Amino acid sequence: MTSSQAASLLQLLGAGGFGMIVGWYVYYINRYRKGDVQFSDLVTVIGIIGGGAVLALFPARTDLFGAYGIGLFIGFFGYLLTLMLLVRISKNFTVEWFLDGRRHKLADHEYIPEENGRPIRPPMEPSVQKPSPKVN
Amino acid sequence: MLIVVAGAVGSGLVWGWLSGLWRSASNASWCSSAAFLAVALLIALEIYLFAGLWFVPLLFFFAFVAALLFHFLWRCGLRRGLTAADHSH
Repeated sequence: MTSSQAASLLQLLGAGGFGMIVGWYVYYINRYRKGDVQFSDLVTVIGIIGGGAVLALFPARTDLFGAYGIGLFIGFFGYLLTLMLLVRISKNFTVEWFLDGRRHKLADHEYIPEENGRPIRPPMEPSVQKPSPKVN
Repeated sequence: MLIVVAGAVGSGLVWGWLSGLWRSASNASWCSSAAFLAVALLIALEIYLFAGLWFVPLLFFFAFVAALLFHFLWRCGLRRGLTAADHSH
């Protein structure tokens, strides 16, 4: 067994914070992606989560990679927990939104700005939801 | 060492959950899950090379499988609840 080198608190916090941002962003990008999952997505995530670039950033046998992994966990699942919290406190969304994206219709005085864009799929359900064809 | 262990478990959970999300989102077969498992093994190997502790990649891999299974069960539970709610209307 090899003992790991100690890193300073500042380094640990930095690596953890970096991981947190990356974890949050991984969930965010996955939620808002427009196409199906591609092989290139897999390669990208390998690079983010355990790839050589990260290992080059945090030298071997230090606690930095560990702090990065903890931050990654907090950021990624923090996003999911935030979503769950928002769904829980909102009157317009229920837990079913996680599966098929159902929500209440907008009231007469409400609208969603076009430029905001919306995710084309709920967080967990299979396949891209296509809009139903117009019947003229 | 505790930090390294926690980091490996944390990144294993993230990778496992993400694999579950992708599998359900792309409606893919279990073959794709096998591909994810293979990739997880590769990452575990890389973590071993990095950390030099034999049990750390093992923990990563266990965390990966646990998160994948938990995601699957959670989705099944939600869907069952959704179906029951639909039928009750």
